[in-house]
Amino acid sequence: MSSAIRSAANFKGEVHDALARPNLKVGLDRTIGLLQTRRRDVLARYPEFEAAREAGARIKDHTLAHLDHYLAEFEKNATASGSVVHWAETPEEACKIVIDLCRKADAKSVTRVKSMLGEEIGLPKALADAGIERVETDLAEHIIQLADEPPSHIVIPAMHKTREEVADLFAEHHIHPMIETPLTDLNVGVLVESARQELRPKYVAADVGISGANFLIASTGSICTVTNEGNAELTTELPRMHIVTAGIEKIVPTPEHALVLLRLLARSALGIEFTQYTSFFTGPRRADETRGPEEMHIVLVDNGRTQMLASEMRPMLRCIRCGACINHCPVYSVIGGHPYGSPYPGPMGSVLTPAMQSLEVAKDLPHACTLNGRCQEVCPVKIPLPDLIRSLRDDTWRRKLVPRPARLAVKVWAKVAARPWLYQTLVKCSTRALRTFASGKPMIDRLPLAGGWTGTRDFPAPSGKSFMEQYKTQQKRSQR
Amino acid sequence: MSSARDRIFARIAEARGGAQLSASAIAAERAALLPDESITQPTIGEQDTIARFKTMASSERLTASVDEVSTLEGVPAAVAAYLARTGLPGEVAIAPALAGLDWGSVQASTDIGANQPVAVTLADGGIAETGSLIFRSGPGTPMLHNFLALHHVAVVERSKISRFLESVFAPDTPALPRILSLVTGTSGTADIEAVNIRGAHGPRYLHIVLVG
Repeated sequence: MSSAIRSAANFKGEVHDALARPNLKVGLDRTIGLLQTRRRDVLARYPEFEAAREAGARIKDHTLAHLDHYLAEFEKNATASGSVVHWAETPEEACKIVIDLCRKADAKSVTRVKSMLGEEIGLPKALADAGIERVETDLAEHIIQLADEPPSHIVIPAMHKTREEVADLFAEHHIHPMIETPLTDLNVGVLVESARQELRPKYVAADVGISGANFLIASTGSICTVTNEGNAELTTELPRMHIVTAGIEKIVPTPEHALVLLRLLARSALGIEFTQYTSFFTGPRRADETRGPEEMHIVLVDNGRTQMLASEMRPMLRCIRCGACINHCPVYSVIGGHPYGSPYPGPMGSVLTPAMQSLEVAKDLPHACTLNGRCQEVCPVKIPLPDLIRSLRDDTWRRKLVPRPARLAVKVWAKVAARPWLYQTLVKCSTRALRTFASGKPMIDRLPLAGGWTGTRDFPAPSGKSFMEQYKTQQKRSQR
Repeated sequence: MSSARDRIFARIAEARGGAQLSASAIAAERAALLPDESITQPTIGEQDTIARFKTMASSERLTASVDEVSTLEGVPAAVAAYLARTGLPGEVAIAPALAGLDWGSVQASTDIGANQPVAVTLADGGIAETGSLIFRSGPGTPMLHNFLALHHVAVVERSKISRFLESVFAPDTPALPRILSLVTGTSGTADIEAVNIRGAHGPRYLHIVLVG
């Protein structure tokens, strides 16, 4: 399950499964609440946030407008520092480049730092197919590797796992599991220690270290990674070869521009001022050094990004992968990340996945949205996510990807809405019917013909007067 | 030049619709992006640089302890005191840049093993804004020393603490080393139910020795 390139085609079925898993909601609620609070608290101490967002959006827009200029500059400077730059249009091409490099390094085992691009291109499966052992070093990725599940969040990939489930996994898979019960916060520390002991020898034994990049720096040819665990440096410093896989939109002109975005990223992702380990890697081991990789390879991947650049979806390429939109999405908070069928869940995924997998496959994603707008409010680079999602909905309509009953319903609604007397009469009748069903309660838990809704959530009973009733009263009052 | 590269660049040019601007025109546009870098820097007001650095580094989140010595020669005694206070054995891995010091009773080696408990390293500065230490890789300051040990003792000169992150890349700084690492606290994780835990892979404890 974790190994293939995923597909968003079965969104509705996956949602159904997700809603039936009680532990999922427990895991999500415990984590999302904390992330929202921490972000709010850290931003209260950063009144420059709005100016920084504006600057962040400006920096990304400028870089995207001159993307070929900056990519060429990056390539020139990275090459000068001794790195080798590779280009891949598709996930298959990118994986082939990585696997060929691993074979060249005669790699039996590779360590990997969490990279959503790696998930996007299906690198875990490619490594498995090539018979190369993959060791995920990020704690969350380690957990889901043991569980053989895909990530459900871009920053905290094991968000769907409770501490109890993690303890069970470590007890089953670790050579010397360390678990103490009850699983208090303190004993979550014991679980982390168990992973530390398990992973330590694997860092040393690895032949190749694979990382992503949070930023590519054009003026220096460097790649920048951020982690709180310090696993990027251990992963890339010990093996003979360092391979980087990154999307072409990760580029920024200079390190100073990266700093503006780094300040936004840490606060938006985890509610902290700065990530613990922020490193700029520029080329392989130098002549005067005794440690470090002998080769550094950077694989730059398109996979739909140049098409997005040419479309209305261009603002999505500003995304710095903080996950704030996901943490504030009411749909994600109920269904989790897996139903989205890609490494990118929530609002960002609903825009990215149609570009990467096709709108035909991901047609349900833009509709899994309440258009409440919180994602746009929290986005550190001001991506107009609801506008992009609405535009994709429009596309699904025009390309006849909306199911026939829904198309019919919208057409009927359009006819009715064009006749105010009919519309108002129907509203009155249905309001009365709903009130009867509610029998005085604020929520309705069962409704004929709407089992699809009330099976998993309550339906709000109409309260007070309708808009038109209030409007008419208002008009009468003002005429007096 | 691979053909994948050519096709990617062709699509980017097509998306733009017109000719690429000249490098100087792009540079002019870029200069206008951040007319004043202070607009995105958090306010630290009149706070003293060293005081802010110490407050941030020893905050609840960064959890570092801070010691101060007047000269570099005082570092071994400060390290010995740290070892005694924490009940650690007297063996430490040190950055080669610190090998010239008289380590006295402390058994100091520039080699580092996979399970080394204590490493003493030399930072090239610090940042008051975030409480970060700046490490530059090089023969005297190998990067692994900062990441392997459970206890990380970092030596940094007081005069090299700056106010904001931008100073790391200021025009008067040396060219980028192979790795430039900003270390802000210790190795931590919030991957299990967002509970903050220290010592995920690297240091669980950070002890900063300010010199000067």
